[in-house]
Amino acid sequence: MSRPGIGPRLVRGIGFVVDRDGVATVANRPVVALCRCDGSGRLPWCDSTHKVLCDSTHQVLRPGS
Amino acid sequence: MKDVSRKDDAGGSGYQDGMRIPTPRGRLSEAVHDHLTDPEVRALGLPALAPQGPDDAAIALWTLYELMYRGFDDVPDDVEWDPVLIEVRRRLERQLEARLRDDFSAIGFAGTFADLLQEDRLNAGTARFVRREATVDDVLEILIQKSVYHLKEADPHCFVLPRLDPGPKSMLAELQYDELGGGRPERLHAALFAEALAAAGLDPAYGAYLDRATEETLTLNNAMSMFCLNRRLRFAAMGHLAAFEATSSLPSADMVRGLRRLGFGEPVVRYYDEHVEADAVHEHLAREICDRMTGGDPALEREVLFGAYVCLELERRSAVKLVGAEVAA
Repeated sequence: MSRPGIGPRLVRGIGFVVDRDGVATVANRPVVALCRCDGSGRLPWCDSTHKVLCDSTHQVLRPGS
Repeated sequence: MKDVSRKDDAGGSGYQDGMRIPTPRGRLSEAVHDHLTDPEVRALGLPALAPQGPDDAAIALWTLYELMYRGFDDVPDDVEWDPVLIEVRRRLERQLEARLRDDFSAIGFAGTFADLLQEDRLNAGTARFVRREATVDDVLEILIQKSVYHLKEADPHCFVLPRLDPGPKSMLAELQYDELGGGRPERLHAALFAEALAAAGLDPAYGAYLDRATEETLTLNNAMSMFCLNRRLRFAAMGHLAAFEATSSLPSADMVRGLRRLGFGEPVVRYYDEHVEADAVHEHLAREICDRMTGGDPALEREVLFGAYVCLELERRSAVKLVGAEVAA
């Protein structure tokens, strides 16, 4: 199965994520999906925005393109 | 005979009481209803009736499946395995499965799981409608139809767990643990939906709206039960789940915006808000489960695709029924 766009990285067993500003976000589920496309509206978690950032041929669109 | 073992506390989800049997919609569902409720009728067996149309077949099958979930008030628990009812269920199941397989063959689909989903993205369904233009009454009707599944959300897939090999089994357990609240009853997705119904002024009781469920809603639920209650169909069950989860996260975000636009309360928003994040995780788990189950075997992958197709197609039909073909497309 191909996975369009830059999908998230699934991570297990973490209590929280600290971003580069030192802000911690608690992980409320046993497996979390960390955003890797930087387009998520709820960072650090994936909200499936990477799918919107693909065109119909699964090519990843560059920001501003 | 009241079931004395039913003491489980639903943790405020509103479904601690059993439900009554849905109103029959034809002679077959009427015969099933009478068989369940009347011991004297039960002693006589069940005549081999043909359903009186799709509604009759759908509500009869739904009722028979429900015996395997929470059952009904005043129906003895051991009726669950009444061979007469199992025979009717198998007859209805065979008809449903044959119809769905015919539909799948008819589209002549030769692509991958990703292709199938990509085609489905052209169908906006109900969520975009809710985001942009639905009225409060439209949303209430959508919640009523969705309640048939969401009040037993994730329950069908619990039946699949023992049928899987260790790898996919542990991943499904992970997914289900999240669906079932991660050890916190108040976070059970079904409980979140019950709270959403109550906050929207609707009845959160399990099965409260069965008599308002459309044939499309019932068939969508029946297909899921059929896949999850037949070991033979476990690949389709997981393909269905993968398609369901993969088409949930972005639409849930649309629902959040629409519900906020219309001024629905936080519990209603919270249910969909939770699914933006949760299903972004579950999508990947479910697809991995399918990949591990099939190990690349084309025949098994075809079964996964069949399940995924059934999910998308029945959701599409249900959306067309709810909001009309022009809006759903």
